[in-house]
Amino acid sequence: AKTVTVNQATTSAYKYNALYGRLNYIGNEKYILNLTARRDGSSRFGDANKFHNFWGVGIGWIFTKESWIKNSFAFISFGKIRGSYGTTGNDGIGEYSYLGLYANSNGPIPYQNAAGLALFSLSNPYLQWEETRKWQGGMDLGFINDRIVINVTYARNRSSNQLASYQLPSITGRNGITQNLPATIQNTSWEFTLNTTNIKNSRVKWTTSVNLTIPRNKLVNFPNIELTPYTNPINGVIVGQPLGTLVVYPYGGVDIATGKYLLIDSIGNSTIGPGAVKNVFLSTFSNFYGGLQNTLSYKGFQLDFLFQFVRQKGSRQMYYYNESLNPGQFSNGVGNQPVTVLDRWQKPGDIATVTLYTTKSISVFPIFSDVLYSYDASYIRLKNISLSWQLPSNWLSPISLQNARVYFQGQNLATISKFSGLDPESQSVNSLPPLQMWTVGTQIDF
Amino acid sequence: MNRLIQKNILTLSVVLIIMIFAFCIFSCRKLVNIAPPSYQIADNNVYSSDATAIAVLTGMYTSMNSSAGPFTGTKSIHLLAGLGADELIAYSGSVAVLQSYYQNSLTPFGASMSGTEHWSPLYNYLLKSNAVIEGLTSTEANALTPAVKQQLLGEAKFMRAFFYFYLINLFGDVPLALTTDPKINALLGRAPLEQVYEQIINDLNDAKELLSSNFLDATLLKTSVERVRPTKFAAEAFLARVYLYTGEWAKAEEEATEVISNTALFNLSSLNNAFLKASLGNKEAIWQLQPTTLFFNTQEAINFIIPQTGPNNGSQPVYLSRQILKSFEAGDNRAKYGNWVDTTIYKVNATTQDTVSYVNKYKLNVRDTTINASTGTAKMKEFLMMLRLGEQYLIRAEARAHLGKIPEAQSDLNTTRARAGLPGITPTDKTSLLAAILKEKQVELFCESGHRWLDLKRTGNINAVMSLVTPLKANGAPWQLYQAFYPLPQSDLDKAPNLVQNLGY
Repeated sequence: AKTVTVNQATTSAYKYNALYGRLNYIGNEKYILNLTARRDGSSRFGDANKFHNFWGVGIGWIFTKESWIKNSFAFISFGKIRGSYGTTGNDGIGEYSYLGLYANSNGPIPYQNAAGLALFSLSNPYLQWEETRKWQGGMDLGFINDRIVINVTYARNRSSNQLASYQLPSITGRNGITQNLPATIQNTSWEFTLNTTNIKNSRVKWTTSVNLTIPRNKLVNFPNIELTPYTNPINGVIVGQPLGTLVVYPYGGVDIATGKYLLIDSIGNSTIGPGAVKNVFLSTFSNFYGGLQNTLSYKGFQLDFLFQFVRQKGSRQMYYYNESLNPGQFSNGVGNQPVTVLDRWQKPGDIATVTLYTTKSISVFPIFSDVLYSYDASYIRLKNISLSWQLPSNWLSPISLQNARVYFQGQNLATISKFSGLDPESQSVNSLPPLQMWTVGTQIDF
Repeated sequence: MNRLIQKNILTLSVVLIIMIFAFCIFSCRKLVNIAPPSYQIADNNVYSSDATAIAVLTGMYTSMNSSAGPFTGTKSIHLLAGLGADELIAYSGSVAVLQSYYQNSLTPFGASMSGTEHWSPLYNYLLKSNAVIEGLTSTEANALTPAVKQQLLGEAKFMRAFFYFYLINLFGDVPLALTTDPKINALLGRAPLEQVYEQIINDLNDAKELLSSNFLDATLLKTSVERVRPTKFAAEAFLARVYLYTGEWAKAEEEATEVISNTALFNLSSLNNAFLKASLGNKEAIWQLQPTTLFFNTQEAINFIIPQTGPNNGSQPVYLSRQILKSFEAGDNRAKYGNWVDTTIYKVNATTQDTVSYVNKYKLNVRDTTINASTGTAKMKEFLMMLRLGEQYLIRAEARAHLGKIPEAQSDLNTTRARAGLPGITPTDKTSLLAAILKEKQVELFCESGHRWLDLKRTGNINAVMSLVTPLKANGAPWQLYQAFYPLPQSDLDKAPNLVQNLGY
């Protein structure tokens, strides 16, 4: 056998140390107070910044236990108001990011028969913990003996001192460096949950659960963004906008007279180019999403199903930008065209979605305009459904079976959506969407 | 009731006090300290010992010659600038990037993005050079042997000047990065040419004082026969070139004379010895880079010598142009097949054959299994030439011509001519003398270090020459003046707020 040589052996070490304490106080079964504090240390930061303190406080008031509520609002079986505020942190970077390091740099034949070293990373002693401040307020209400339970929560999280791979221009000699950025990113959300026990008796039970989340993301501020590479709007880092915002031209359709793509300039007229300004902000975040779950059981039968709904905008990749080419443009190994390219402009007077066919290069306006993200990609999907039947025990004991169950499960069985791309959930033209799966089976215990 | 509340508050306070106390004790830094990874060295340890400090520069020479980059391989300055000028032809089936250089149609956008190949690697080398200079001037470096520290600082400054020379001549005004701090460098604008040249000249003059006059081995304490590390003479030779480019003729003559007059170390070799390693008696070498690839000598031999199968889209995508072949005078031994030029006939298809000529300065392109880690350089014969004596004669000839020292200039010009078997010539007026020197540089230094492209630009001849040559290379497309400078990469223009693109792109 040939000898095995080790080309490179790498090891990395990560040490983490934390001390955590929590204080809980419940007074008279209705006043709740939580205090937590912790001190975390991570080996990923420079010596001065390894440790950081985090803390949190939460309060709650179960107001339905107050006698004066019980008397006036008897229909509320359970009511709680809660709020919390706390800080948490993140050290999610690679090991040794703060160290300046040199690594081997040798060819198969050593230079002058000696070893070589090359700069691997620059030292960054200022790397420190990223901190997120979260506050949250909410209310839980139960009605009719908790047959109906409603939860409402509003949360606002602000992350600052972002740990990010900061892209660098190559004139610095490097492509990027991990660094704390002074950007403050805010995530807010409203969450609503409704749980109902619709029917509950000795034979039938039916419960429903609905939830809805309305998330919002925003870059609150970024001091001195003009001095960083992120000042270019192409990066999607714009103060006052959600992260990943695209800054694009307003699209003006296909010109009925000439068949060319049009944009809308700053005074509102159509133009084939001059005067158009990138003044539309497009966010790719979803507007809201949620789910509806039902569980129904009757004697030995049990039925569960979950609907998922999302409201969002999607990308019209199939129309204008087939992941790597303009639809209609052939390239070595990439030839399939979507049917939508047939809806092209052919003669004056045509109203079309695709520009006229030509052997010259076509304008790529749609890719840089708001039409690329103008698809309604909202959907309601039957995410999973499961129906099972537990055979009654009086059927089983004659054949000395302990337990027998027959079941059917399905995932992604149905989707209601106006999206005519491929799949509204993954929105990709070259990767598999969530698959539809049917599973049928039995479980028998002897 | 009061007593219960009192007891609760007491318990609460005791717990709080214990917690605070515990925090103060248990933030033990030792618990989260780690040593650097076992396969790397922390930078504060690199510059405190001789061996590791030297290894940083040894590592830089290794990577300059081992990985395809600006100094070796098919994306090297000598190959791409040769395509851009009138020296090399790109094989018709070669990749789009080479075609763009060949047809002088560089563009930083689109699928056949080209022209920006040298920018990032050169700035990466500059970062490494700046890191060495900072490391050697830090307090850790006080532990180094003084002679070692001095030589290393000289080598680092020489290399920094070397990289900046290529950056400004290929791209025009460039950002002057003199520190490793990315916060400062990312905000740099393009510094004017004069400022960068001033930095280059300062660095080279410093290097001249710091570098040894001996060729050193990897310990920097013993002399070596091989000439693979910069020396005082390399700094002088490069200074001579830089003074020529900045028009300081007297200083150029002076520096070139320093090297040329050291006949103990430097002498013109015969044509076929001129690219051998120094230990084989090649005293023309002022500075070379040692190859580090298994089983082979230089990458240049592999890339330039066209095999029987003809030029291809792999390692042999270029061959010599008609313009350079016609430039050789009759009787020029450099053009004699087997010396610096050679030829091969290959089958284009079943019925047609074609003849191509190629650069034969580096002749050893066959695989030789005796070249391996245990034999080291013993079985190698050719090293990559970075600075050689022939260029120094031509630098001095041109400097002297500008200074009006006509006979001395003619004598220097005729030195390389004589080595090539050509009779001496005596152009008496400055214009024809300079033209003769430019022509001699074309036939002496072809396909080396981008000389032809840079000489055409600096002598103001680029537009006259390329407006005739480009239409022949690019199916009639005209020469565009802005193609004389390479474009800056768009990705840098997006990320560095103070950079602007070259005019025309």
